[in-house]
Amino acid sequence: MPEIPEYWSIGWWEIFLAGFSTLAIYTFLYKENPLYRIFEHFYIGIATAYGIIATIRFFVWPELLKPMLGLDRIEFPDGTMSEEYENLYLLYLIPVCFGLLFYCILTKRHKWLAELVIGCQLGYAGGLAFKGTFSELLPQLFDSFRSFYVPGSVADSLTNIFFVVTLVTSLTYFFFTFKRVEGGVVESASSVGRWLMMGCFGAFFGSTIMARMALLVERLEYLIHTWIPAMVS
Amino acid sequence: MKKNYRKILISIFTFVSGLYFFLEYVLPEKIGTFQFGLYHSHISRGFIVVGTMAIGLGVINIVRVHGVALIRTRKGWINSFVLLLGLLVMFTVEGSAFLSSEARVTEWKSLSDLRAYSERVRSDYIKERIPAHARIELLVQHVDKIQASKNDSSSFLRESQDTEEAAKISADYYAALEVLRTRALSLSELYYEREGEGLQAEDDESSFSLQESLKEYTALQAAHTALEQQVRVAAEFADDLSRFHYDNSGIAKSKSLLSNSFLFPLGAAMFSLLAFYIATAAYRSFRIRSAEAFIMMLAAVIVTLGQIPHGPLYVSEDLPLLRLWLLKNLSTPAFRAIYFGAALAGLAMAVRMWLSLEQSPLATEDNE
Repeated sequence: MPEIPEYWSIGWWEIFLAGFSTLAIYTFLYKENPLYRIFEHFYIGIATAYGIIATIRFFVWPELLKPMLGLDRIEFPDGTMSEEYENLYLLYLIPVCFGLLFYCILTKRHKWLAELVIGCQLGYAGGLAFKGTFSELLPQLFDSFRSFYVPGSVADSLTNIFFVVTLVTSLTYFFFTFKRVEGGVVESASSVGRWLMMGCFGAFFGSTIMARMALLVERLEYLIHTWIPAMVS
Repeated sequence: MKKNYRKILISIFTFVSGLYFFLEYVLPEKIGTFQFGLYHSHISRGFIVVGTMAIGLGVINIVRVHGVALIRTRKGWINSFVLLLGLLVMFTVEGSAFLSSEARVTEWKSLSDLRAYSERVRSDYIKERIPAHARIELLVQHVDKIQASKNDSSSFLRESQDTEEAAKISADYYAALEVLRTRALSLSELYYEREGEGLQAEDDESSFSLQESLKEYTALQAAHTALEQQVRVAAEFADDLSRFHYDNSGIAKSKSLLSNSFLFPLGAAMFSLLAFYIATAAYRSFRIRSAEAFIMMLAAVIVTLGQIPHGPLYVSEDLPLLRLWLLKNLSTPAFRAIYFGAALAGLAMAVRMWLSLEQSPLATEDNE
């Protein structure tokens, strides 16, 4: 049981407002209402600001501005610096200036300059896609085609067969380059694949339900074990 | 014609940006003496920096849309007002907390970095014979300066008697600083003697034996190690003390209030709302109208019950194992089949984007 803070103290207000915010969001379960919309908008405002400050705090400042301005170096008592300034960091001014062209999107006349940066980012994503796709895809591909015979274990052999059959039949479901004949091999395999994928979707659905339920349980637990005792006391 | 040039320029930028990362993946690390990925981390970071510069766009759009709604008192202007208020308050509080935290760390680092300073003085003295006595004296003065912040109300390392715990941390910290000062002074004396002897040795080389040198060297090493250990001890207390001052500052309290009362509860409540809608979706999906729906329901029920304590308690003890088997041997291969297709399609799409074969989302009729 969490400790109940003193009445009207900052801790008490924190609990009161947290519970009230939670309940305000849950009023949506009845119907759309002004209280829900106010808190929803407030959340958007604070979450946006939080995201921006977090980006500055954890990336822009330590990874870009600090090294560029030489502030990541230490000044020792004798006035010397812990390390030499790396001039290479000045080159970061190029991506900074280039990135600022994003804001040209706000003007009609220079909008094309923003397209230049967007194009650069799309090209970057496109070039990285090769590395990303193959480094993720190939290990999974190699792992998928498992041995049908595991010495000394019938259960493992059967499991591996089931695994490969599920994969191949599910893939077959998405093959549209074959001519599908009613009762043919491709059609039958595709139909089995569809059944197995239904099992996969069910399992996913179950996992998603549990993830959301965990959040709901946490909120209800907070209301019951922290908020109500703090209000009643 | 002019607009056509722009289009070509954009295509060139797009292609060149992707080309580096494509080559970095397909080429070996070294081609002869040329190392292709030598500046890879800088280049990657450069591209991330370009993307990061767009963070202000979101704020500009929010302020523009909701600012107009507020000024013209359009329908729902109160919501716009609340949104902008939230934005402003969070910017102020989080921004101040960030600056305050940076100031705290800087102050703490001015003490903890004395270890690196001591290491450098020792290394310079041994390798390059750079006189160390004066440099250690400066270290002593630096410690004096830190000690002087005891009564500085703006310092995160000021003395505190607010609580019993704070008084104890303060006392430990200032005692540790005193020991540090003493150790720095004795090291300074050692260097003074050594440097003095060194000068005499230059006049009379025979009076300065190798054995004596070794003895002195060991004594210096030991004094440096003792000093560095003490810096670490003092830095730990300094961290506790500065954290105490930071946690009790108005900024930290406002940040905690905003985060614990609004940001986290609102986020959790917003996402947990989906639990209710998933429940109604489950009702619609799991009505057993076909064999496929039955399989889907069965898998979902096994996974759900296998994850909560009630499943093994009231249904079967094997449920968690069955859930795991389902996830590993049914869910994984079926999902992989979908993923393989999606990944290849994604790659094809990426190549189209890279080669500017896709139409730009910003393209208008006149610049196509």
